Amino acid sequence: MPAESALEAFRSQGLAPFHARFASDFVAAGSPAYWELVAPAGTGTTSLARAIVERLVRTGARRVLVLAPGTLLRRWQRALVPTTGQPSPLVVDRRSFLELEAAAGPGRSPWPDPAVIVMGLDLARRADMAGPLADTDWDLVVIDQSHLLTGQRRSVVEQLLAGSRAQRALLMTATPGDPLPGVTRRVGTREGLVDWSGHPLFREVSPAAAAVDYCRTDGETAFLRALEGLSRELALQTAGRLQGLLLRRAASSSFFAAETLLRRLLETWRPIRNRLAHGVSVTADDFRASLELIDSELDEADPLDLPERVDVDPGRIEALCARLDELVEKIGDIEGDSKLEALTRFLAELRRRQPPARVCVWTSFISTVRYLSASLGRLDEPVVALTSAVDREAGRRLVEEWLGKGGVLITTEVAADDDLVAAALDHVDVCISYDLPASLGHLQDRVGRFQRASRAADVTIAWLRDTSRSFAWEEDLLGTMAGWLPPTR
Amino acid sequence: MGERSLRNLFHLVKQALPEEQELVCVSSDATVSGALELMRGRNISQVPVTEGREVLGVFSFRSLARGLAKLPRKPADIGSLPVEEFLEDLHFASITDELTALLDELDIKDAVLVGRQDHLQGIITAVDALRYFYRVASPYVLLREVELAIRELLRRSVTPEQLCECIDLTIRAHYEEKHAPVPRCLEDMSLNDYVWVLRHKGSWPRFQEAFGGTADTTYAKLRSLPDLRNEVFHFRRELTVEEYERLRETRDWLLMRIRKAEARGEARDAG
Repeated sequence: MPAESALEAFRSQGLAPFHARFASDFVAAGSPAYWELVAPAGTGTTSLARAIVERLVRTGARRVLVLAPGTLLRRWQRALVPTTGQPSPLVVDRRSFLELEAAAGPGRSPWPDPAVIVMGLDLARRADMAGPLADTDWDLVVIDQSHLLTGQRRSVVEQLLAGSRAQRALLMTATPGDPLPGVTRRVGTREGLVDWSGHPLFREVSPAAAAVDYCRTDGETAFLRALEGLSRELALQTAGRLQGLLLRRAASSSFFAAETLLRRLLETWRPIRNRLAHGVSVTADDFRASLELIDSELDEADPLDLPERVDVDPGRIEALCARLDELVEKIGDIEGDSKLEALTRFLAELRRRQPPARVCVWTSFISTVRYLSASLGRLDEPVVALTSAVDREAGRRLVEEWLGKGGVLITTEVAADDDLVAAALDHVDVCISYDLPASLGHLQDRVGRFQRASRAADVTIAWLRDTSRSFAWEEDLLGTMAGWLPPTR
Repeated sequence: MGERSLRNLFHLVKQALPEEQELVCVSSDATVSGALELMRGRNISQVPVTEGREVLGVFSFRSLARGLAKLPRKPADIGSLPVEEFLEDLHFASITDELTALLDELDIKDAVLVGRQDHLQGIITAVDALRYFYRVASPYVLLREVELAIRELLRRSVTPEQLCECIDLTIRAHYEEKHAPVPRCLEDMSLNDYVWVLRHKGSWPRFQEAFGGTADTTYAKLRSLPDLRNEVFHFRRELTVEEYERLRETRDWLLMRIRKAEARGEARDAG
């Protein structure tokens, strides 16, 4: 098919010019086989991949492999549900792979033909999966979050590409790492994305405009100081650095999120402590499981890059478990929640506006969503809560309900990646960033979602500001966002 | 496809196979000390012995003990002997076999091989089966513990008369609207009633010491429990990993609160 008609076909599927041109170049005869697309999150790369998969399957591709972080597999499965008679995407975990293998019989490929296989990057990197993946010819391999291709994950993909078992490959990321050999990279920036009339798709991202002040109490401050101490101790081991970071982020978000994470750490460390006490060795995988469990609380599209090796000092585990126990006890003694009270007051002010403001409360933690939806449920207005755990159809119904009735929409990054939720953000009058994003880049991404060119009215971006400045980690992070958030009083 | 879905109603081998299991095998000329070192390092009790793709048998602590007992004289260096002198046969099961049919095998040999002689896919041990059945049963156990723990904490917080006041303040209107008898004691109340009584800011101060935190944090922990309980006890669906974790965390939290309440009670009695 000539390049022009391919471009038109991708345009008719709703792709923006940058994405349609990329897709058209990708499928063109004689074009490079392996590409990496670098584009900001939330700009339609999943739709682009879906369009390419559909087209290649329609023109004869038999086997497609999609590799993504474990947290994004269901999203990919939903995104690739076919509109015509193409194969339905199959999410493959270890057990379902063994079932496919047993059903195929001796000497035969376990992969169905035709098939669109969706698999976790960490399953693919396992030594016992390398053979079944590399022994098959894949017409297309799609890799989401390709910056996570390090260590064994990178080797597996390099093996697929170098052995030409992948006819074509599409790697996608928002934060590119070292390029893979033989892969052509194309970069799209938020500012450079325009519609078919040449108008920018995104406005110039501007800093947050409003701060909602609160002052942490002595009890809250004492808890945060104790948590800081524990995080510093955790940082003495490799996996602990990540655990410490997550704990601080959770505590900065809400004490409820901090309690959830502390309990999860305890739950995964107790068996490790018991095994060590009985002289049984502990492997890196035991700590990986712990990290994965607490990472699942973080509802962000870009999952943690968990280390493949974990250095553990067994002598410290007993003492750290005791500290975790102490902190979990302490959190139950905190009376009140100054941050939540400030949010409630601010929401009451917004309710008095005419017409009442449509509000979005944004957080990174699933447990903070649970906490806020339970607490704000007391208010005399509708509250809708969305996370990646909410079924897509149910989530869409909730968003439509919110668009009709107004009120408070509590959401996370992953939930907001759904195109209907993304479009609904255009109707938000006030976005309240309940917790701090992990970096300036994440903050700009968060703010950018509310400043699309398609929005009709202005939006106020607000954030919760602790005037006691008692959480040192939070203050350090704020320093990196200077100019993007109003200065602390 | 339909047949496969129906089979999934039963407990199959694939469900008990640990997701993270990475199969480790040794060749027939591996030494006893090498295999033992590997088993110690991986914390496993048996290792399949293969020649190419073919499984020859399994080397285990038991097969070593039995083999040594049968040797006419004790060799000077047992560790340097090849593992193939100490093999035992384990039963092979298919990934879609019923797990309960393998319980006798697991009882006798501690493990079952999954796959075929020429294509080994995994191993299921007695502990894997135990963990699986615990996982299936644990939501029922956890829900029982959670409900009874909430009831006990409520009982320790108020007298029967004070409980009636809380009921009048929080759930009485709801029952009257339904023309249903208003509960007067904890045993008559549902899990949903407990959650509503705790959520009400008017009754919360009576329960604050027992449950700790705030009415909001307590409500956030408990609000999904009545629905989860219905899902589980009416076998509507399996809990998601997230829901299960939440249930377990709630149970751990309540256990801690019960311990605290007991410690306070003992201190009061002593004082």
